[in-house]
Amino acid sequence: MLTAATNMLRRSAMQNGQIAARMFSTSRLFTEDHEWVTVDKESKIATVGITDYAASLLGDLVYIELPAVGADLARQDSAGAIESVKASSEVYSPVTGKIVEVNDSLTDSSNMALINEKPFSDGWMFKIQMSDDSELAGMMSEDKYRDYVESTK
Amino acid sequence: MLPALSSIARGLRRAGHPAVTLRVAAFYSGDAAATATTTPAAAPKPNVVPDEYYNLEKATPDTLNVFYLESTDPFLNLATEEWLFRSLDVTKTRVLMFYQNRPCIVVGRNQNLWTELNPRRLAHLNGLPGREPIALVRRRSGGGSVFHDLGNTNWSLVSHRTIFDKAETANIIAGALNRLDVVDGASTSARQDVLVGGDKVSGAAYSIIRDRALHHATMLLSADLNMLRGTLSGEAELNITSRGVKSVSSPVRNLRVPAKDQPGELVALQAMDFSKAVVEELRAFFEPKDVVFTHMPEATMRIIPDVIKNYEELRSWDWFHGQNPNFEQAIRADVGGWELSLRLKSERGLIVGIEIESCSAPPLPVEHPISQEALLIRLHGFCEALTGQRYNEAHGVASRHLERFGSGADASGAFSLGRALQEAIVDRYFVPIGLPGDAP
Repeated sequence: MLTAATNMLRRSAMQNGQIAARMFSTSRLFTEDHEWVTVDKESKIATVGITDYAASLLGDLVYIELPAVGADLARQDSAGAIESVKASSEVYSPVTGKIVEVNDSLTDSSNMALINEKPFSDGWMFKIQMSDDSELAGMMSEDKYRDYVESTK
Repeated sequence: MLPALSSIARGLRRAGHPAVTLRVAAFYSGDAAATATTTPAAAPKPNVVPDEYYNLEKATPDTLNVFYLESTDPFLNLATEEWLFRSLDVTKTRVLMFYQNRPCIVVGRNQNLWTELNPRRLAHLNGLPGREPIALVRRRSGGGSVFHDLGNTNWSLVSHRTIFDKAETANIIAGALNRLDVVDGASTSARQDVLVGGDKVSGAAYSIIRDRALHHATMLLSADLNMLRGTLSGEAELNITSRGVKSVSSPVRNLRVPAKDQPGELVALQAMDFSKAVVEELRAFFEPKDVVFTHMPEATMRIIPDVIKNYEELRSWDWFHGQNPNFEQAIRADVGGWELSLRLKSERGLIVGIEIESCSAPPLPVEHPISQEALLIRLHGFCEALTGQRYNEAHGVASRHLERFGSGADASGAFSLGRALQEAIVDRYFVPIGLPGDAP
């Protein structure tokens, strides 16, 4: 009985990338550019997206440009763009490294809403192989980020 | 020193170049002394946001900084606008800019040049005698394509992201036009367009970076509206299916106002009158403590390190073509009696592949001057020669490749095949667009 329940939980965790990722990743970190980062502790691959706050300010999206897989980016380099109706917003790489994967499903216009609806899970934008762990030190915890958002309101 | 000006000076100090810094700093301090209430130069304040600033009912921003950019070079004006947008301390000030550009078409950041413009029509217009060539520009902000000339003026308002309000700004601009008694009166639409008698007079776009937002737009005064027609729509026969932002075309008109000295007469609205009315409307709306006017000469703009950097980037292939959204082009051609179907894919301005989808005989038997096998071999070479090349240079690359067809053992057959491919594919489907600033 107990085993069955555990297995069920495990299965559901496997089906839900977010839960699976959480088990091995750092807690979510945030930047002043309203982006979030989680890092897989073993591979040092950072997953990056924009925050719910940034998504809500932009509103409905009409275009998403993602970086090229294989691109070498320095911290703060442009890593793409997001456009809502007539408003373009730059996406920056929060860390230095090589792009190893992008969330191609977002570029399909029917999926763009994922950025607004699930910014912290299915709305992830790209994964980057970090070359310098120390860059994480300057980022904010979720609590600090919420304070930061409040302070700029 | 005012916050805005001190932050410019700070940016210049960071950028180094002492000789340049001195000249620019002298220009600014001179201007500040002449136009603003002078306070002793203080050390730059840390970027602390006063809470009350964000509630306009309780507090107003200190200063409205108004910049007149005195260049007509669209790249230089956009580069300077971007520098001011990024470097000014927007927690304490709103920044308003005005500038006019010589003839150019400005596309939105995420637009496909080949689906939004008509490069063949542009090349034809630019070839007409006595006409100033139209430059092509890709801007940083979103939205659609617009045409600029000296009969158009551009305004641009920078504010903190949290107080950025498209509708409010559009209403202020409409209010400024009504201050000037424009014919038929100005109003705003649900899309935050500024309309006069149902026609659009201003095309707006926005850019958001970190803590700040830019709202900029055209304003039609006495622009050559004929230029808009036929140049701002793509050629459907290029068969391009693209990602990216599509322009929404609207009926447009120039603004007319009553002549000041001739009652009953109507004249074109002047750029300076428009800018003064916008400042008055903003002054009434935000009640800034101070309004500071800065006229920025072109020579000054050209020596500011960050402006130079932005300018070069706007004029680069990487920005203008490298940012073209990914697209596919369906090429259908009849070559030597064979029906060809090719699919070209472009990413980041480059041709990443051309697939031969089919090469079939038409229903009726015809005598083919070229065997299907010979055609396919040649065609593979043709596709390979194009793969990895810049899409905007496809016409030249393909033409040069086909010119070499005549040199093989089957020289005469290959020569006619080359000619057929040139006409049916290269000349029909590949339209070159040069670097930004070049006349197309």
